[in-house]
Amino acid sequence: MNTLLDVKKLSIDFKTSNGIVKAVEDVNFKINEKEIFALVGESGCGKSTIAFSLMRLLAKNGMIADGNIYFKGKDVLKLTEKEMFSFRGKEIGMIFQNPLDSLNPVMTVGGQVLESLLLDNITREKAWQKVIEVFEDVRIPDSKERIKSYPFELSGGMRQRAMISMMISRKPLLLIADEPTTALDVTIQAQILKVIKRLKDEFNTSVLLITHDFGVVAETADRIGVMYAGNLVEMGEVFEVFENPLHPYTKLLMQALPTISKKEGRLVTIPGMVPNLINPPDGCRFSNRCPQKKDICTKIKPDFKEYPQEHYCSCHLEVQ
Amino acid sequence: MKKSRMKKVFSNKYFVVGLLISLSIIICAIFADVIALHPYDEINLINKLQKPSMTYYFGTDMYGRCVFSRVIYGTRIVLQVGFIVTAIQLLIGVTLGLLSGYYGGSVRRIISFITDITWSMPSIVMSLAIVTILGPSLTNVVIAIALVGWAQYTKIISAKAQTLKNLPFIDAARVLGESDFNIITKYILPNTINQIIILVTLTLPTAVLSTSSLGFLGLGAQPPAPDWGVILAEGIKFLRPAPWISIAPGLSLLFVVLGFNILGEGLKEILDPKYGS
Amino acid sequence: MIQNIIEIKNMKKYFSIKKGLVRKSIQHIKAVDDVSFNIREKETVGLVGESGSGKSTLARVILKLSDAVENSVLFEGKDITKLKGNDLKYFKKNTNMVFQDPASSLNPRKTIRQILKRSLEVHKYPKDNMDEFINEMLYKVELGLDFGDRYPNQLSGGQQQRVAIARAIILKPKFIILDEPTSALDISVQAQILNLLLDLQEKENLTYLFITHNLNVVRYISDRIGVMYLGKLVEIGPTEEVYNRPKHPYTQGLMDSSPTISRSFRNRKKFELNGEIESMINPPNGCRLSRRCPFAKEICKSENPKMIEVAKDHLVACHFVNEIDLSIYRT
Repeated sequence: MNTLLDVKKLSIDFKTSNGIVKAVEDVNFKINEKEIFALVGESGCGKSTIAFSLMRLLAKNGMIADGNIYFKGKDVLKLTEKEMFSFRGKEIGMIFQNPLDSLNPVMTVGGQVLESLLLDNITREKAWQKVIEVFEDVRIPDSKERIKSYPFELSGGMRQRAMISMMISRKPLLLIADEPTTALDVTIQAQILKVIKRLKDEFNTSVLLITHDFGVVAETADRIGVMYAGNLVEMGEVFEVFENPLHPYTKLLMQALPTISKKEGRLVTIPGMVPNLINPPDGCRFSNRCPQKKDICTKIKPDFKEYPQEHYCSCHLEVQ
Repeated sequence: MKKSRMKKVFSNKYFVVGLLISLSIIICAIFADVIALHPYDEINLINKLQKPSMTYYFGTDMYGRCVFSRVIYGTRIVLQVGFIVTAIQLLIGVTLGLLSGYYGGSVRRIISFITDITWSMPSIVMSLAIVTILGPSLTNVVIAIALVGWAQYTKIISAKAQTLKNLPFIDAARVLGESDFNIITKYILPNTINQIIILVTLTLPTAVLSTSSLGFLGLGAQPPAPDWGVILAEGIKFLRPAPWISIAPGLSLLFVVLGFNILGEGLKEILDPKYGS
Repeated sequence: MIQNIIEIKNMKKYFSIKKGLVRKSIQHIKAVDDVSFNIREKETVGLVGESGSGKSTLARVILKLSDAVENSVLFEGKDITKLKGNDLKYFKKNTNMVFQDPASSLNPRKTIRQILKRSLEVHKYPKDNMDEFINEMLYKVELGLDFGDRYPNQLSGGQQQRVAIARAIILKPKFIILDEPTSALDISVQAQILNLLLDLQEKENLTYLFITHNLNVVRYISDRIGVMYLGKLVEIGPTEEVYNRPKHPYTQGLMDSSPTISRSFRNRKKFELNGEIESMINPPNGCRLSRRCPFAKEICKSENPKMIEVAKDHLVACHFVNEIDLSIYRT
């Protein structure tokens, strides 16, 4: 399997009036061709920040403090603005949580897809043909009619499909989906996840799926990375991680999920709070909440070690 | 807790500058007798049209009156008018705005109708008309400007109230059993403070300017009252030989307007519960 | 003798869309259309449904945030539309609600203490005891006393929701509606809040109506589950029954769409409904699901199905509930 995206030692800081927020620290992961990789974590863990950094779309006060991002061997951080312009959309596409906010309300959805297709120097006629094709790819019914619709005329699920079609119209190799189904109803969510899986199976598109919903990951992803307070704490094949979690945070998080009935007991909770990332603690960032904390945990940062079954974990404890 | 909050309040540049300017005007008004060098209506024809000097800081006008003293005493009129007008506009405008926004439906339609009519009337023309009917005097100027200017409050407060009433914390209040009156006064009104402050900072200077304009036209305070508009008007004819007669009140108006606007900016920032956290 | 805290009888809530100068009523949104069920003392009824199902409207009508039709909602046997004076005060004191977005459910201009105090003031609690009472509440929801002087925007989402819960229980009510109380919260915070709700229910003898779209949460916390679709109640029954052995096609579709963490679940045979959730403005005649249900026959399109009791306490509104076999979709 070829590596498509290689993120090495990525660290991202944000300058604020209260100090420098070390939002992401020393993150390493790869995404292969034809693979869906899920990045999960709770709010503030840095998953969206990483996504934006891949497209070099960080906020003005954000900066990549360390590390490299390689896409098909190219160093993304060294590309010029001009090269980035053709890079975004063509090599990597991105869809967001709320399609209503990301679609232009005064343009037809067909027109918006057309705009991005025209960036590839094809005739208008050919481009319109492609628009209809791509609408059919994401299973938008009555595609010839729908290209003339405005976003407000479409339901949430349809808008998200339109958004996806816009992003895949130029056949990017990687699609970043940032909480694509959080705002949608469960049955619509199921349909959108099906579309995303289709992208991988039929169009060889890899997907970086960012979500806080483990269920979505279970349905869709091949591999998973678990983030906590800016660190990647665990990574591996989805069901390997679910069935055999190594990191204490992952273990506790899995137990906090309601998968039982109340008669079977109370949900497990994680004591304490996420540390302040302006002055992150020495050592492991989870140490103040970890039930298995040892002395070394508060002093030295754990390495991201590899375990059998391509399972990675950054923890000082010896795991079986 | 209190000390650090005070520190944050006074570290806000807008607030401090605006406060200083406003305070200086208020002090001038209160202590006019002490600050002014001469009575504002003391005529002294020998000294007429004199340049600014150590005796007459802003020079003298065509009757030999001390322009500085007139401007200082004029702050009283400015403040009185400003506050009374704003108070009336606030009372009418905010009340109607809250009722219109909270109740919606036919209540809103009726109030909107009245507001739109008042709003679309050109304010200076209307105040002119009212003052002409009632007769020129400061009191009538106050009534005229107040009656014409409340519409802004209603529009903005109504819009804000409409947004607020759909928020869950209002539902929570209704579930609790709060009466409509309490919801409007204890829940909605406090959350419109920002809008009210902005409106006051917009309308207060406008009220001052309108008063001066009407005074300029001779429809407000009657001479020898040291209304800045009146002073300005008197000085127009003498712009070449003695520009200071009009410049002094003109600049003072600028000073007042700027000052209240800046203060408003600062107050808005400070009163935000998010401020300083 | 278990009594019904809430009885909902043929509740209807229609909104009319008016158009034209004379504002003539031309279309109806049937947000809640002939829904009936009871909520028993000390139980938790979970209400699930997607957008447009009417579950939130139902909640608002129960608490009188939206007008009810005569005799459609009874609280402890009394018609809520007829409550006046002391009876109304009693109703307000004994019912409350926790909302989905904790930040906007608290008055941004008041401190936590002031918010909680207001509840006591409205119901005329003696002034001397108020502070003590408030402290007790903060303790019950596991917030330090220093939170009392903070403003809502200074709290995290989880802390804000705890305050909202404190406000909901401070008057010692009997019945609380929770409308998606954990949907805006992180997983670990959600777990804390759900545990808190269960603990409080035991200690304070509370009855809950828990509205959510998250099927795992509803299964965890409810005794019975009710499923709504386009204004209708399509199924209601004991939690494990509805969750594991649903009888209504819509419920099955919902369960199958809801992702779970199980290797075998991923490649299972899934029951799917055609098309999308329809608009409430022109719902199909007859069964609301008729245009999307693969089992739909002629009668489904013309006649509204009645609730049929398929097992003890388990009711389903489907003409063919006894003929359809959904067991092939069970894991």
